[in-house]
Amino acid sequence: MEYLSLNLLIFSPLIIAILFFLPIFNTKEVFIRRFTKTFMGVHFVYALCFWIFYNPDVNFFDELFLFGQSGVQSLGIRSAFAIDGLSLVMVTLTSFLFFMSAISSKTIIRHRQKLYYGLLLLLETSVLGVFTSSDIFIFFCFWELELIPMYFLISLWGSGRAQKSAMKFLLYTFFGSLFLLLGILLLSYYSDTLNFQMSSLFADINVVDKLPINIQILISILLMIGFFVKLPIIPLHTWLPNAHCDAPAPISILLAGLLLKMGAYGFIRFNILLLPDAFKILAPFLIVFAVINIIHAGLCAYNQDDIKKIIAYSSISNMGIVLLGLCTNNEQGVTGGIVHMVSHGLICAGLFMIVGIIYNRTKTRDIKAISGLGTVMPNLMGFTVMFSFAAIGVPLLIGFVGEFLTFWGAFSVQYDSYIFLPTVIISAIFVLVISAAYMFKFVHRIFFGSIDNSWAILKDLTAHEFIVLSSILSVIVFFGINPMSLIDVINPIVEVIVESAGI
Amino acid sequence: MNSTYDILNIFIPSVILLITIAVHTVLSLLKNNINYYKISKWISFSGLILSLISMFDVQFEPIYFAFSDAIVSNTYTIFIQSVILVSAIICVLLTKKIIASRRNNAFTFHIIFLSAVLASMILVSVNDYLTMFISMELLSIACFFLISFNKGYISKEASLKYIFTNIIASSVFLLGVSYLYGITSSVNFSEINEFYMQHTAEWMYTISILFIASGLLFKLAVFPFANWILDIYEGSSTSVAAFLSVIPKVAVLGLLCRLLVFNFSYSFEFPLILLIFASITAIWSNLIAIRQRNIKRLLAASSSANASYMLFAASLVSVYNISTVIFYLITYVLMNLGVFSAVILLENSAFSNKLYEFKNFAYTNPLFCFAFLVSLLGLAGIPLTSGFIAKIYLLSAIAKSGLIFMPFLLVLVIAMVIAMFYYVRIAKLMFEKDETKDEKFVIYKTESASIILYLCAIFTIIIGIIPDKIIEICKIIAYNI
Repeated sequence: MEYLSLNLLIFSPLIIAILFFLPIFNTKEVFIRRFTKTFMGVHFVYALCFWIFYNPDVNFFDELFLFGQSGVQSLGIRSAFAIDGLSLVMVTLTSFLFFMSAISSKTIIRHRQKLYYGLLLLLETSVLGVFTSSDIFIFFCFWELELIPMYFLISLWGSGRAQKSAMKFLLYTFFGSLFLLLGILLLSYYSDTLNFQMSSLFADINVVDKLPINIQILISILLMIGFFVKLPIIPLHTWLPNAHCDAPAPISILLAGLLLKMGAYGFIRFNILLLPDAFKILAPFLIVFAVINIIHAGLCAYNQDDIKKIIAYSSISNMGIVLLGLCTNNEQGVTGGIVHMVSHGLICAGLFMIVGIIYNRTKTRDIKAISGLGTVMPNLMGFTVMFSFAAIGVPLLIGFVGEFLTFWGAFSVQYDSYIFLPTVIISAIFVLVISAAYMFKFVHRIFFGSIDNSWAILKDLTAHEFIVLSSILSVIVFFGINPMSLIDVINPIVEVIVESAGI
Repeated sequence: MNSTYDILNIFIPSVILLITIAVHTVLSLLKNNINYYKISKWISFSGLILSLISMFDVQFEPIYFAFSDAIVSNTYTIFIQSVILVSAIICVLLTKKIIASRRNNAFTFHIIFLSAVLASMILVSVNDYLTMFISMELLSIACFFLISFNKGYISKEASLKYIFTNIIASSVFLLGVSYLYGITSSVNFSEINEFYMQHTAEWMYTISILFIASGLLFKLAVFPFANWILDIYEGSSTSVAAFLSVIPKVAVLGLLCRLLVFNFSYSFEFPLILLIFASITAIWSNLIAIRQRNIKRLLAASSSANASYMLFAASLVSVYNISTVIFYLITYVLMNLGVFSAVILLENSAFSNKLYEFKNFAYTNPLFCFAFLVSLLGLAGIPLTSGFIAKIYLLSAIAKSGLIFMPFLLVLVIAMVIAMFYYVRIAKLMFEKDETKDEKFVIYKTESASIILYLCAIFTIIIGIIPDKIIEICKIIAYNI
């Protein structure tokens, strides 16, 4: 569709953010908040238009021209953006979650609102840029740019040891992204250009095909370190619980819902689509990492006392499921991995929202101190039960679709030379028990039991919170009942993946 | 007769600087010159501007050798000299505070300052080791006085440290030159080149050029001579520190690139030794910067780190690498002078150099904070600033040089992560709220430092978004080295 401008979709939040910081802009805090919410709503509707007019045969493509030039031509960089099925899903999810996050900010963000909403919009542009850019260099630019607003959002509005956690997040991610940079530089060393059109249809496979296989594996591992810090995969995950705990709830939603998906997205784009030969060799080992991730993080989640940490570790565990799905190299598994990316984005956003609400009311995150909230907050309890059902993977909710397809794919993998793999994969199925255990522990401890007197005066959900939770839940139920509407969109890219990386 | 020709052809900018120095000398001898000390800044300013304009008159095509091969002039030297002049103009505009505190010596300060600029201009275009030594010593002697110009014990101590370290470096340099003279019986770059075209280089050659290079590494504050830099930046006044962090570095790197392409290129081991020095400096100076609580000491360490990044790319001799070094140099000059002008503004508004004083700035003075932030994040290498493009360009050049440099590249990349930490920490401090102090921090609107700060920030962003033209220019310059 020609009249849908991709540039407008990506850069309009940035323009609004710049507008915020101009001295002529209205400084009334209520106005800024409502303005941002309205803008995000319009942006979401605009992103939905992309979904509605999406045609699998013709990808959206656009190029940003600044002063008659696109990117840095002398270095072979084009600031080109493209949307295919995978990008489309992620862009719509981004727009939706930012909208939800802006609505839920009302009760939690009480000071310096102009700066807060400005940084939020800047973050939106950089996340959208990561999901749509079709040039490696521009991808890396946005990947780096996203760190700065996130750092300030965590450190200035966080609670607890927010500054320390924010710095840990920044350094870990920057460390990872420098490995990413090393990988990109190695690619450029072998191809004399920084210009890789990475969107699957534009993928310049010829460049990569010329590389010797051991170099491909080296590049693949370097890139993986960068993405696995974000994803996160077990040895590189320690920034995540701290950052999630100390971030304010709307930022936790974005962190879990989108920023972790950036790692998975980059993994699909680079490791699977750009370097399929190396991926084929590495995939069996990655499955082992994924299973360790699933089981270890799940057990960690069960042992936490901090309610936010339970959700944080559960999201690490879920990202293991995503990695497991992507590494299976068959159609069910890859579809399952991508669907689970979306489903975990939605479910985790809802759960972090709930935890944020509880923390906002009770001012404590200790699971032992809270009990019996169900009697005073019945609506919240209803939502929590629904979200935890979705997280466990109860049918008719989207969590089931992702998990089921992933395990279906995982059980039918065909790596004949690795006889240990079936055992490893079977052990991953215990995640269903473990996730049920920690989610029910979470629900049971908080909402059931005898209520403490000090909690008896707590109010139930406000209108804002109700709207956020119910709209996230309705999306979860919609895709749970009708998963084909999602699977049809991502099917073309799944076919490309299976064709290039499959066995 | 011949030398008159030379002067008319390529020496006009330097002559204009010499005339300006003479004007300052006469004025400094006048009796009541304290009454019009403010004029000194504008005399230097106009002299430098005239000198920059007269740069267009200089012959550089084809390459021109003057004063019996002692000085060379080509596109590359002209360009680096212009960069030096532009940064000198900026530095002159930053000197308000130091001049105001030493009114009766204002003209003397400018004499020394312009001599240093003159020395660095000649240093870029020298073509034999004798002229090189003379201009280096002129630069060093001017630096002694500039450093000790500040009031108080600490600046005298800094100056003395600089003198001692410099003497060691200079004598090592002379030793190297004498070895090279012993081998080739010449001190002229072109003759030495011709000598090694016909003879193979032996290990003595490597040692001699290593000794020669260490004289230059001292000015860059690279590993064997890196320890002086923190104390000296702290001791000298901030405008002098801004000068020290830019002009000698541009001159020395400009010369080093030329030497590496021609005169030092006959040794196989030498680039590796430089690489090791640069890696050690990158790690050392970034680690030491983390512990600093004084912004001037931190910037000193950061300038040493940035010099090491550039040395890194320069030592892997290729024309493409040199173009990245030139680009990095330009962006570094802009960002560093931006940060220093912000520090000078703070100093003039009665803030100390301690980092914790930076709290609240984002709320009391958002525009200033934004410009400061752009320069700082540029040094850290965040996208949308020129620092990011420069770092990517530099790293891609190193990656293109060959696979065996990958471990060094890894070291460099780790050093950049460490650097990111302390730049972002300053940025974070500015956003922190400190309830105990609510006095509003005011910038004098007329101050030239604030204009420079905003200009540097604007250029940092513009180059970060559309770097194409400047990269093209850098490539042309590097191909004409």
